[in-house]
Amino acid sequence: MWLSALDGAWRVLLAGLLLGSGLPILFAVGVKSIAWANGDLPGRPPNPYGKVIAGALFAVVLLAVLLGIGYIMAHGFGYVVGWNGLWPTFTAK
Amino acid sequence: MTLNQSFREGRICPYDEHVSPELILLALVVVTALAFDFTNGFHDTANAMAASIATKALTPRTAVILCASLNLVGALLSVEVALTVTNAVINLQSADGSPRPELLADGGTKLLMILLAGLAGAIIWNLATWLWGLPSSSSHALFGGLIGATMTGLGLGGVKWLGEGGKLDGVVGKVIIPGVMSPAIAMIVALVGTHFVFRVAAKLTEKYRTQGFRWGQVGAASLMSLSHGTNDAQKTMGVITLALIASGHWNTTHEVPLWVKLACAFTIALGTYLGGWRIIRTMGKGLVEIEAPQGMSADMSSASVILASSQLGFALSTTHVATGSILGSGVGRPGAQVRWRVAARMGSAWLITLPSAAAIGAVMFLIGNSLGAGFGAAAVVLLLGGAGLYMWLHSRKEPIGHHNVNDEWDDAKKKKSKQEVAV
Repeated sequence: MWLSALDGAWRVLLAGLLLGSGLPILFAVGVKSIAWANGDLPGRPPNPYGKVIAGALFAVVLLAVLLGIGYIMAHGFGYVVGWNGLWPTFTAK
Repeated sequence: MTLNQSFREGRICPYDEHVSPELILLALVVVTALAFDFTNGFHDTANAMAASIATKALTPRTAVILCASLNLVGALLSVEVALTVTNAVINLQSADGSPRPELLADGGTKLLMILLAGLAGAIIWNLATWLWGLPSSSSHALFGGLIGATMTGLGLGGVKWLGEGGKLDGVVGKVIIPGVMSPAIAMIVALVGTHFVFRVAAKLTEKYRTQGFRWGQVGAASLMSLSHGTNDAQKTMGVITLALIASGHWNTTHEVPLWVKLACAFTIALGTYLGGWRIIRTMGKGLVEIEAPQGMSADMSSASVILASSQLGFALSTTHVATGSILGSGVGRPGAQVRWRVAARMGSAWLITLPSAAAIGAVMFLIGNSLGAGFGAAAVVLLLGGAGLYMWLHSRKEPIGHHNVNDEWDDAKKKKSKQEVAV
């Protein structure tokens, strides 16, 4: 039982680190890019590319949130969510 | 088979019969289950919203309205039936969720009394921890109450301590191990996230720090609220449906009666809207001072850990995850002060949640069972109501609401003198 507990725990930890630590970091870089675009970063001239970078990063975070909503809804409707390597799959239980 | 068919077969005939003690017992189980659902709602508002309220990403009122609406949507949205919720820790149900046949011999009275006493134990513990402002797991309280009532009702064999064949199940696999591991996992995730977020945000001006991180935080908090609605309201639906099946008022394990679903969804939303301000205050202000970038890291960490573990079938408590994340975000932020004494108080509350709820559940079962179905159930509900009223009156001495939830966190002594000045 301890083994399967550890097995579950490290998977949750890995997924948590990828999403739970990774997404806030991407989001922070996005906020910083906007500051860069607006010229609010000390010692750096304003650069419009900052907004493009920020847009891309926020899109990734938004996509993850939408996937989260999709996941909760799929579970509620009795679907199992899987991953075929490229995109998530939904199969009825 | 539908309810109408069972009516025709004469399995229930509430209209041409005197109100029997069994019917009173069933009605009280339903009411008590909804009362638990209500406490489940306000006890857990803090999990999703404490950080957003503390960083002022949302005003207290907006936060509870958003959280309650998403809980309602989540609860109504799920069609999956969580009928086997008690199977994790006790042996009342078969694998498909129907009550064990040997428990139906007495018309399900004993099973209903176990449910009633277990729910009463869970509610009293939830109210006590709310009064003390301590976030504790509502599912641990529910499991604890049911375990206590089952132990007195059916003996030690009625409780599932370990999972079979190394499976993560039973009290150890579904309660104790995740209870130890989940706060630690959440803490590590939030710590790593916060650390790097602060490195990235080091040179940003205050405007970007407070405004920029707001949306990320609200998004993650909303995800947690939605997920809470789908998971937690289901537990009460499962318990009520089990009671209906055991007493012969419902006969399919594939569906929950619509009124049960609606009642549970609205009750949990109402509880959430009321907001457990005492708990929100401890989580948002008591553990660490939360800044916006930290709040976002903490909430995204909680949401990810909760969803990942649900996908991987690893049972854990939202409360433990949310608390672990907030603590981690405090440790990860350079120069932040973490109030470990508050954290230690919380930790000890987690340790005693299951045994305490079990003890209350056991006593409630002994009282209820010795007085028979009708009177026993009434006695349990009266005791529960009395305890609830006492704790509510006690809470009025030092009320905490949306007006003062974000006040500076002082030591107990200072808080008193400040109040005296205010009065």
